[in-house]
Amino acid sequence: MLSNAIERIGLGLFAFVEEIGGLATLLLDVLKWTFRPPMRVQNLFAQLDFVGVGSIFIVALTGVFSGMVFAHQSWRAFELFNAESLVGPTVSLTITRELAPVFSALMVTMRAGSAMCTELGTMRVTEQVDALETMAVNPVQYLLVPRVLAGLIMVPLLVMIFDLMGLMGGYFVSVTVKGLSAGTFITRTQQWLDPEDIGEGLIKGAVFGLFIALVACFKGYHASGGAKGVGQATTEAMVASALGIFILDYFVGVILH
Amino acid sequence: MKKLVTPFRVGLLVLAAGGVLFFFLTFVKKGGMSKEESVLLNASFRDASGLTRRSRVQIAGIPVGEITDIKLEGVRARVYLRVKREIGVRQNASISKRSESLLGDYMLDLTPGTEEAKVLDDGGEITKVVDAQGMEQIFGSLTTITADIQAVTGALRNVLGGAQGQGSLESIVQNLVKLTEAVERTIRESAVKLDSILANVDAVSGDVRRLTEREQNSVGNIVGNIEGISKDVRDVMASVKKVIGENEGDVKGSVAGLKDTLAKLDRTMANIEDVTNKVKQGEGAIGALVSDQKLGQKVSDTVEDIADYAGKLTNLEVEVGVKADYALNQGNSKTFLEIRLTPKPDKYYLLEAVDDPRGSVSTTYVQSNPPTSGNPVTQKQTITTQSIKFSAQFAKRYSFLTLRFGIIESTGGIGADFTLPIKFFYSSRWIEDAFAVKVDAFNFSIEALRFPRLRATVRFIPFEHVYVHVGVDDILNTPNRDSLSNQYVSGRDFFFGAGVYFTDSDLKSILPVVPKP
Repeated sequence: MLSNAIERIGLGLFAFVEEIGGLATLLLDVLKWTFRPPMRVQNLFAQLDFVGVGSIFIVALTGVFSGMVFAHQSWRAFELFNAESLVGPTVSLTITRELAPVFSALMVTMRAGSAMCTELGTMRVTEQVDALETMAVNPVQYLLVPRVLAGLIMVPLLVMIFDLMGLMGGYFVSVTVKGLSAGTFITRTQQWLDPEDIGEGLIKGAVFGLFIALVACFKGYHASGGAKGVGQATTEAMVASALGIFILDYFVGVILH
Repeated sequence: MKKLVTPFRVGLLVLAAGGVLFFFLTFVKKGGMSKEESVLLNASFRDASGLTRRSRVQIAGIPVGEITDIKLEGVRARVYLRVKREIGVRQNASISKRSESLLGDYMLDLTPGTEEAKVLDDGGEITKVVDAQGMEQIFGSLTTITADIQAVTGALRNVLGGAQGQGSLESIVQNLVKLTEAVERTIRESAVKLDSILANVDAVSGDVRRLTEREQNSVGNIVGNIEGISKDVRDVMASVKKVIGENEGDVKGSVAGLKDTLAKLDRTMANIEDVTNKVKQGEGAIGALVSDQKLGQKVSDTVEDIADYAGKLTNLEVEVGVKADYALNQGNSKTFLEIRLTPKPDKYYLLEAVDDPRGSVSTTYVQSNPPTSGNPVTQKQTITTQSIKFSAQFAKRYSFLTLRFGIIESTGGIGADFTLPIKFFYSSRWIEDAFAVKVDAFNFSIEALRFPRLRATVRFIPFEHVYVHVGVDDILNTPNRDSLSNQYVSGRDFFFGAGVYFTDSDLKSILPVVPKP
């Protein structure tokens, strides 16, 4: 029993390391094929549209309510110390540094990552990927490069949308609902918020976007076992992406500071 | 169509996100805090707790900079701050840490210094650092205060907690109730008096106000006089100080002399006390005088009489004059010596000695035949003798009219004077009685005269002490000369003359300069 458990942990560890290696290999392949002709711009724009434009609404909605909730809760806390003026800086710093990249990446994972993984897995199990190779079309360049680039490019843009909407939500709750002076909210936010904070959110967004696109592509590209295998691959991709976002968030944060 | 739409949509997203990024970067840019627009200063703090990078630096509540770094330097904290260059922080600037909220959020209050000091440039140090009370110290003080309050409440509990304490409290409350009732009663009873007092005070203040308004000039003069007096007193004091300062030795000598004098005075007072004791006991003449009430009353009355007499004498004015007339028909002069005594302004006594050339006329009847020779034959003899005549009149004055009666030239007579004061063009003052019309009537019983002798005189006083006069004497009777001597003995005659007079005050001033024989 114990040996089985240890064996399973060991196998899981091996699988984890193997997947890290597979992701790294895939990243290298993507980088290698990104700069090789032919440049498939139409494919890239299609993925940019799917990943970015298609996620604007859900990211904006998430941003507004995240900002409102965070302002509401922090108001309750700061009210105890007569320090309501710090709600603005708290909301803005939290959103720009953490909430915007993490929540935007999660939204993109749920909406676009799952779709990528399922699409690629289906192409893999129906041997469409093999067909592309038969036609001398590199599947990495044709299928994966546009998706990874779309993740890398679009998530930071969505982070900016999230920042704006989140601050608007926080402003609404603090000024309109709670009655804080608009001048206080704006000047204190202005005082505490730095370009570095916004830059940190953008970097995190790019890292998360690259990561979730790579995981989705990796899981879908290596799917097997028919429809069930595709579903399982998608599930694994979602879990890995979500976990990876939070783990990476910590390390990127530490590295940036 | 789809080929165009997809890039367009992506482009819109890129533009939107780029716009947001631009907005944020603009929004968070700290104006005026670049290296060109600001100076980097530092200050050494004993306690920098609560200060962080980007903590505000403000003047009068307006942000002018922020903390850029905090480093440990020995046992003190070196705080680096960037302040707008336009502020011009000086070498005598000061800085203090101030709590912004209960969260321990701190900021720096900067006082930029004064213009006489030089402006600090990059790397300059603000040396005046005021360590304000931190929240920890405040909480420490609060802890001490709380302990004190606990001690007080504990003591109160011990005093008032038991049954005895409760009884004391009830007693105190009852006393308070009585006290407040008494105060209320007193106030109620005194309300009418208070109203009256207030009304009086109001009236007095009104009078004072009216008085001061009416007599504003007088008050001003009084204040001016007081100022003058105080100035004089200051001058006198300054002189005294100066004198004392210059003559310190003399003053010491004077003080020593004063001590001797005081000792003598002490002895004298002892003697006086001895004497007064004897007087009090009725010993000696003075003692009898003081102790005998009857004798004292007599002495008092006597003194009063003497005072009254002396007062009259003191008020008596004496005027001495000499005048001479020249009678035209008589061809001779008549001389008067006058003394006028004036005890009061409205009455006087006039005494005269007159040398009249007409002389005194007396008529006698003598029997010229012997008494045995039939019917008696009488002979009328009129004898005129040259002798001094006297006048003594009492005069009473009523404004410009003076009535006189008494003896005039050795016969009974009456008189009246009509007088007016005149201010001559060459004099600056009025001369009393400068113009006078005098009428005298006397010699009522002289048989030689058909009518009484009536005399009218007009007198002028052109200068003090000198007068001239003209007049008509014996107006009613016709001229009559003695058949033998051809002397003019009665009847109308015109005269003119002059005189001088002196008052007692003039005599007082003259007599001392008269050479003594």
